[in-house]
Amino acid sequence: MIRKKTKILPSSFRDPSGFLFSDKGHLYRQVNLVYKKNYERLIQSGLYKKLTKENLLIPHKESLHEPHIPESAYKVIKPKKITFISYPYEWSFSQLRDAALTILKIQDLSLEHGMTLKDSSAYNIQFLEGKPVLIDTLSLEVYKKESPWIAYRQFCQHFLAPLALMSYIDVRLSLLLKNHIDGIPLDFASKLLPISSRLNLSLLSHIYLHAESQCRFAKSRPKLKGHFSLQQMKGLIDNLKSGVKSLGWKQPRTEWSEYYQRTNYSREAFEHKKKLVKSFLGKTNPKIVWDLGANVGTFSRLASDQGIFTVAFDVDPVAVESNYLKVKERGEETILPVVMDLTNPSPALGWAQEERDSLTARGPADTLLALALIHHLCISNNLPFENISSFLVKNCRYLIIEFVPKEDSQVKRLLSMRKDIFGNYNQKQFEKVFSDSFQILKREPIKESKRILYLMKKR
Amino acid sequence: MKERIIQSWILILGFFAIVLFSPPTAHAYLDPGSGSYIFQLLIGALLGLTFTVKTYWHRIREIFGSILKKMSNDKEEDQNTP
Repeated sequence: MIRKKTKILPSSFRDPSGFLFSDKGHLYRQVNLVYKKNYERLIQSGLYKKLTKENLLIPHKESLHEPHIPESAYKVIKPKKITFISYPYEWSFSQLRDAALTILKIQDLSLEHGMTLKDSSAYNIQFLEGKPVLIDTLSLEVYKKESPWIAYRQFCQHFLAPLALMSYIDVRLSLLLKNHIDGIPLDFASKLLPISSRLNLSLLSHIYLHAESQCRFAKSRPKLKGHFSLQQMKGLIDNLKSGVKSLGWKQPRTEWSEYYQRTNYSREAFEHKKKLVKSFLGKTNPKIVWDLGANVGTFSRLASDQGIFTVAFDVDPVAVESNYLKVKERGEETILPVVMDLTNPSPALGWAQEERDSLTARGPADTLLALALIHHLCISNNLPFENISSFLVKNCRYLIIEFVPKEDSQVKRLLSMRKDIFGNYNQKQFEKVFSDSFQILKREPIKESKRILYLMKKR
Repeated sequence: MKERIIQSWILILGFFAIVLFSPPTAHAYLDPGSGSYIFQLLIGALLGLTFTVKTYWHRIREIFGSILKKMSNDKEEDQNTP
């Protein structure tokens, strides 16, 4: 038996219309014969052209690559590459909201061209050049007259419910999506949402009453051959759109939200640090940069403004939200803000733990920025240098890291509240431990500060 | 603004009707698919109506506006004729 050199992506198994496979690191999508009519309509109706022009659908090229399963194949297409895959439980409020509005906009345009979305999973959206786009081209199918929207339940669970929870209760509830891989069950969302949310008619219908309906008709076989006119469908999409838009979020003040107003850098120190980071970045010549603890992305932009694709990670959803709103305002295409708790990064999830990748599986980055970070990991989180070093070395080739000594005022503040058990927290020990996994290329003290910036290379 | 109020009333009355006249809760194993399908059909009529109202709001307003104007003109005429 000949071993195939191509490999199906373990997350791509649910849709009989086709699947993704990889060959030497390149991603292809096999389009099966069952999808043929839909694909032809997608192209011939002009919908593909319209959606890609409006940056709503991922563009693809038709490929001559051999299909992975030739017997069922119609075509092979090569979609444009997404540099960093992110998941809805890693998005800030507006990122999820914009993804929801993208789905609805696509559905509106699709109906104009006689097509409809058969899926509205949040995992079908990825950020490409700063904007949310549909990556599952095969979820578009020919619209059958009088049929209801088959993706309605998914839309409510993947988008409306989490947005409502984030808006009415707490923005951190998006993390529930980690446990509920097909969106938040509507009965669950109904129980969590406050009574005042029922005053929002969209939520009352699409979450509360929808959940009631799911419960009551659980075992029914719908005998009515549903008559759901196009006008009703448009009404549904319009109502869902109003519902999503009605959900706002007043950004609370968190300990990180006014970070840069409260730091201890003088103007000169700040400028010098920026100069050093930029210089070190230049020496590593990266294609992809990860900025850990990026806050609002001030230092991430030293890379992204040069056209280097940068992922700006931060645990604080308020900071990530600010960062994302700035991305939108400036129309930036090379920076992706993502919510990530470094002490508990996204794990592998889904069937056989293969549907959603862990953080490390999505790396390594060419260069990793760990600025103003180490004291929080060591002192606030009791992490020894060894553990930090071994984690970082798995995720990068070059490391730009800032050592913050005990004499620094921020560290003094952290230590003021607890017993100083950090006997090994000093520059000498830091260099000793990190030298095991990294080669220290540069060491530069930051002017008017007690902090030192390092450039290191993985051994 | 007024169109929103009318839409809201249509929805409120419709939903109360659905909630009041639906069968009691079944504590059955949850199969969300059929419930969502049926729910769409139930609210379909209301959604279609409110969307139509929304899209044709201006025309409806014009028609009502002209009817009211005609009524007040007729009234004036009646008052003026001895």
